[in-house]
Amino acid sequence: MDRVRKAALAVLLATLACVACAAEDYDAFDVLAHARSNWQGETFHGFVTIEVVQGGESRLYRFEVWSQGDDLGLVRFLAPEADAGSGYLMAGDEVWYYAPAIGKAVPLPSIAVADSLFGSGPALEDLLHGTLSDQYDATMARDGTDYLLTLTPKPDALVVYGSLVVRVREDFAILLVEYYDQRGGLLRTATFSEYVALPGRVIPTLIVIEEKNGDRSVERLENVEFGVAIDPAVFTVANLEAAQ
Amino acid sequence: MNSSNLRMAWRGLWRHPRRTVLMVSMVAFASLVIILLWGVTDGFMTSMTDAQISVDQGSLKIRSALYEEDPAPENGLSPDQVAAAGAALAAAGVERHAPRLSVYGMLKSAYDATGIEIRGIDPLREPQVTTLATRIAAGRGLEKPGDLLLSEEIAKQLDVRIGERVVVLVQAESGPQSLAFTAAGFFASGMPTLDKGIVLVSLDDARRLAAWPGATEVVVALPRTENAEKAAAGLREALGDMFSVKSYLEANAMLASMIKTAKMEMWPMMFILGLLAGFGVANTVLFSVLERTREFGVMIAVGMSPRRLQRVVQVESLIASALGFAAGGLLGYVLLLLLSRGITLGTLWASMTGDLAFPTKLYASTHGWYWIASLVVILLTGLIAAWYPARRAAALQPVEAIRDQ
Repeated sequence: MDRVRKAALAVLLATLACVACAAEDYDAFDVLAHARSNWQGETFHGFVTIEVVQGGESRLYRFEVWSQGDDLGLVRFLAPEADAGSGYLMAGDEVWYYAPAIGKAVPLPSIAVADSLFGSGPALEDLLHGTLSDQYDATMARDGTDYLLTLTPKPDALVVYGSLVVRVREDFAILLVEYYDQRGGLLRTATFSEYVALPGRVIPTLIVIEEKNGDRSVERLENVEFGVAIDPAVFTVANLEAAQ
Repeated sequence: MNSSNLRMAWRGLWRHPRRTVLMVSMVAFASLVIILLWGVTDGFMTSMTDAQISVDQGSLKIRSALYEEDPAPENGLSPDQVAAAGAALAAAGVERHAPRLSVYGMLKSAYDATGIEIRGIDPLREPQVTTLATRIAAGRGLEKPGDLLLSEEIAKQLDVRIGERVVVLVQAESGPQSLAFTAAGFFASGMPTLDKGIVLVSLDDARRLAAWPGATEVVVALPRTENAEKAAAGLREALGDMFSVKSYLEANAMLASMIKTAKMEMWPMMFILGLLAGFGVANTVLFSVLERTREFGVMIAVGMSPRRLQRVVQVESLIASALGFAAGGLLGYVLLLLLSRGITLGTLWASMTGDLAFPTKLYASTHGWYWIASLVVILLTGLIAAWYPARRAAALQPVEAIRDQ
């Protein structure tokens, strides 16, 4: 479940970043700022299917996601049957978990989110939440029409990676994030593909995260909507507990 | 016991050297087993607690009473309370003490993460109290802010090398707090459970992480000769109800009761072994008396009082027991001396003992009050065992005894 939670949260963050805007002369932070600027404060709704391959075993999860701005998010599991109805609610620093078997939502320490975001998440979170220039030094090169960014954590950065290499398309859609350890070894690769154009943006519908040890998760987005009105009641504990 | 009785008994013993050697050997064996059991048990218990106290725990700890109930940093000692504890210790003449701040959280590398105790120590004062921060197996100790010491085992688990960055994440009262650290060195405490459960950072860094300016405990080292329970009681009285002062054994009731049980178990063991030696001695002395009926008859006939004869027989048994104890004790001492160099019991044993963080190497003790106790038990046994044969010798009628074939 931990891996799925990580994946779910990563999707939540990643999907929102891939926003198109006009290309001009940018430095690395501008490129990343553009990649995230248009989604902030927006709403998102969609369905995600994740196939998690861990230790040679494969499991399929499906969940529905709602999010609004930086602070509000709801993930509801639809499959497998054993997990259906369970979900997570994030409201600011508060995180709640609900499972039908428990019968009521239980608060999780907020460290749980930070922790779950640590895997593939924290770097993505950095990419999307604007703390990047505090944490990293960046260099940028052009590779054809793509931007190729190399992010190196500053000495006190809360980052366990040695560096990140991010490939961003000319329209500011992130194509690839490579995570390197502090010895220069490749740890993890996140690939974003099958972009679809929505009004005012393009988003990837396939995200593949591959670990060095062979584990991987394949995440597919369906019926994605941006900027839809979401009832504030969605992001409540009562709604989390109201799962059928 | 006068010296002529002693001389007679000594001569009596060596008139039948083979029998005497047998008797001495039996006592020697029982003494050896008693002494080995005591030496190993006593030594193990002592080296276990000594390792705990000197490496990790200190002789006693001062905490806030609130922290004992709910061990969260914000329930710990405030800076004023840390100062008050320092003043009370100074008044009691205790010099070696250091504040610590422990907080629980996650330690993360690029490869893995583990739940762990993050212990903030004062790099200058802590080595006066415990040795953990100085038991460096690779790299260096805590020198500057942002340094972190972890065990070789955790470093292996998280695949961290010296000089690499790790991130610590804790749940403080105000929310999650993170800090990046550099793995400055690896320590090896010799206690696997401790190695797996703890990283060391500077007190100031721990205070930033926990968002608490004080400490969770003040750890005190006392000279070995000082009674920690008594010192703790004195400090409790001086500091009042807001504080909790516990000696190592008071804080580890499970270990204390284990030590007590192990020592209690030694008494019936000693009794059984004493009984065994006693039966052997009684048997041999009885046979010796039966064999020497004629000799004793002559002694009584030439004027020796039955009471004196009884004493001589008892002294013979006493001498044999003392010789046996000397032989068994000497062999036991040599063996304990070898075992006191340390017995490596391996990590399996140490991990079996759970949170108590036992060392993998334990030492037998070669000294202790158990030497006197075993000597007393062996001599008493020898004396009691000879009582019946001696009475029998004293009750002989000279004429009948001399006729005895």
